[in-house]
Amino acid sequence: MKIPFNLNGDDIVIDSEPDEKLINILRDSGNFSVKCGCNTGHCGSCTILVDDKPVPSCLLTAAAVRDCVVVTLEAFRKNIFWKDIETGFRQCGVHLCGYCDAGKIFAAYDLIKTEQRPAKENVIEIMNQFPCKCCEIEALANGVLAAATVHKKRMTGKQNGKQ
Amino acid sequence: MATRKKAPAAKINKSSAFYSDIRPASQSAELMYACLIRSPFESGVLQSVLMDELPPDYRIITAKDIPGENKITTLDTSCALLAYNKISYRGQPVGILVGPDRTKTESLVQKITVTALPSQSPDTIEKKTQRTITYGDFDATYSECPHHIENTYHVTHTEKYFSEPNGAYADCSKADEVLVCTPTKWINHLRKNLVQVLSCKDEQISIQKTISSNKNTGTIWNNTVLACQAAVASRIVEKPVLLMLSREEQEQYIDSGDALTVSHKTGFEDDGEITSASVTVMFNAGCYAPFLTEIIDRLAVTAMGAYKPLNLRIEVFALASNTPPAASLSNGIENLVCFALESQLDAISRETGLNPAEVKLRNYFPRATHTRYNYPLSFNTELLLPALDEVQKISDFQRRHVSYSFHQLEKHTSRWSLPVRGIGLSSGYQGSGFLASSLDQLQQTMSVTIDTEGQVTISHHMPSSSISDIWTEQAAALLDCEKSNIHIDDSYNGSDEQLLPDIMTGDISILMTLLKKCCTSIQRSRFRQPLPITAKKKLSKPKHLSWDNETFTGTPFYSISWGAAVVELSLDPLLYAVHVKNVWYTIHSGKILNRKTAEDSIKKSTERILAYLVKDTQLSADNIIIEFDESEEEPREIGDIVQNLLPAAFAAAVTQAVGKHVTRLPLDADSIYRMVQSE
Repeated sequence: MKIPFNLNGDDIVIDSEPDEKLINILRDSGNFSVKCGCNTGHCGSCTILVDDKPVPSCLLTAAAVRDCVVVTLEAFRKNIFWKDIETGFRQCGVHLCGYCDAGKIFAAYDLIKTEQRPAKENVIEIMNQFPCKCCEIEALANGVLAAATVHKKRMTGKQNGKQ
Repeated sequence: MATRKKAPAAKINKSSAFYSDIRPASQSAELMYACLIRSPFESGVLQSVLMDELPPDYRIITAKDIPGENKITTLDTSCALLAYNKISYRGQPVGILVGPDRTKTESLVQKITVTALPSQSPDTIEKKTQRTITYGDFDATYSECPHHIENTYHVTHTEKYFSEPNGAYADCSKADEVLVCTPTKWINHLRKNLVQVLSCKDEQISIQKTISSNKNTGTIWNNTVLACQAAVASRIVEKPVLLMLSREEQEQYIDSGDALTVSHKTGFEDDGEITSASVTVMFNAGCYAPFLTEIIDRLAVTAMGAYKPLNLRIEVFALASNTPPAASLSNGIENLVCFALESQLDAISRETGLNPAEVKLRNYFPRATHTRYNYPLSFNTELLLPALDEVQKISDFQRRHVSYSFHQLEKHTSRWSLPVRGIGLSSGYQGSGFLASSLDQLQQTMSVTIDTEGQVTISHHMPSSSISDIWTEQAAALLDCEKSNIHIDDSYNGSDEQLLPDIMTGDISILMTLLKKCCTSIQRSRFRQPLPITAKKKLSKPKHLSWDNETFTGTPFYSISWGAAVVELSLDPLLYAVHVKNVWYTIHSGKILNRKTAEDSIKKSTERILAYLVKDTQLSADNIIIEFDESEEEPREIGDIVQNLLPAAFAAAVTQAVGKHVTRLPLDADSIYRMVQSE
């Protein structure tokens, strides 16, 4: 079955079984930021952005992303938004293990994008859903809050610049 | 059939990649995927491993195909790489299926038929090895004690990991080259076994250590088995091979956890002092356990902790059974006996009506200490005293404990619909550098080189990022140079290769001492000797260490950190859900080299341990408060102290909240419900 979608900015058409898991397709095409953690959508290691929403790719079939925009961490790391998250995480000494990065980074992205000033309790609650305990939860929450501040400053600066 | 563009070649960087992300460097080389064919029988004599219509390009590899010996040797234990004749447990690898498509290989492996004859004498559970420690006469004195408590504790330590499942990427396609990329934690062990199974020369082997975030100590030797299987497959098909366990295999055979049963028989006085204690530990070693002697010895040493009953009998048994090999190394399992011991002390405090801290102190410092002449295990418990005092102060333990006890009484007289609270205290230690081990941790060496450009290289295995920061910081301070000039190099050659598993090196206690020695030596000769200067140091056995392996007496660790923990929680009586409100720690571990790193390490361990204490629940603490009782003594390890303290304090708090003694971990909503409902 031919399935067209946009992967990291490129319009592609894959020839795949409709029920084949997206995670396998992405990894086979060299997107190794998509990790296979639990295969049940629980751990977040295989998270990708589908139409700008974080989704576990181990629960998606290839057919589910027909005509969608799919972004993996490889492409997201070229985005200016990533710089804000990276700066926030660095300020708070957040070191992720490398395996759970996609889930935590995309969750942070979604939080910052939807809430200008996310509440710390809310951030902790969301980050606590990830079972990988590679970094201390409070430091991670502080990292997300710092990233939100950096992002806001950048956005405000841009607006001021335009004015 | 899916057709996709080929994955681009990834550069192989030491310790910077996951092995499952590595692909052949040459675009023309085809990557093959390997899956293990496992025995469906728990015992028997293997007859055949067959598949009716195996597609072309797919191949089944069995023990007969192994170019070298079908044997993995770990210390004095050896096991088959692939079962050849005898089947020892259900799930034992009997072959490897290799093919070019991962999904197809995974599905074909389910269709392979394994046949076996039933073994003539079916294996049963048998007692295998044991260690006994005695002092005084338990049998004669137990019945004379005014109070007795007997409890049997069942503990299964199963931590779930969601990191990369274990496995390896191997490229042995060229006759004289062996490349293995894997998250090994024991590089020397892997190298020796690769030589054995491939029948190749040591210098032909190149091992790339990849990232690992799985803390399970079972991966130490399991990884060698998997890497050797991948290498054999690659040698036979003459193509690069990726062998990666499925999540189910990882959970079933590697992270399955260890089960222990600990029986305590304790006789004690009115004031809570234990006069007679017997501890029997039963450990399921599976069909074999490579570190069995060490596990048994360490469990024996930890079974009574630093308490000093006048009459003592400790017996530890390993049970051989047709189950997968025991997964853990000793320091991953001793927390289970710590939980049983501290829970028993908690039971004594409830029986006597004394405060838990008072009962602990009474037994750390018994009245007639002088009568404990030649006591088998000696610990300097004085160092625990300030930690135990401080944790009570910062947690307001005495008041809360009494207050929640009243709450317990009210529970029985009124309708119980509000959350009840409980608070629990535990104390203990983390020992590092186990002196009764067959792997001598004090034989380690470290070398530090300063070159003509002022660049400093520490040659040792790469520790965790936090430890690496501490080493860099310390070396920079001692050598009076910039942190950016310090590098850790873990590329070994020949004789420099570390003999111990990474996890056993004692990164803070033993290696920090070596690092200091090396740096001090360089500083001394720096202005007398031209650069480059290399200082290579080995630890000499400190005079204060009094361990005698023959008699199994003395202080069994190179260094010990002491600590105490208090857990406060509430229990929802409608949902039977536990909510951990506060966890307090006080830890005495000598000089703290980096407070933030130390605190983060304790907090991370707390979150990890809490996650396994209640099944199917992601438990976390609202607040974690840590106090270090810092001193100028040499720094000591604290990474594992949480796992020795937290389960017992948690169980004591649950016990107070529900009014029933917790003897089984992990808990679940059902077990809490049963405890609440039972009279």
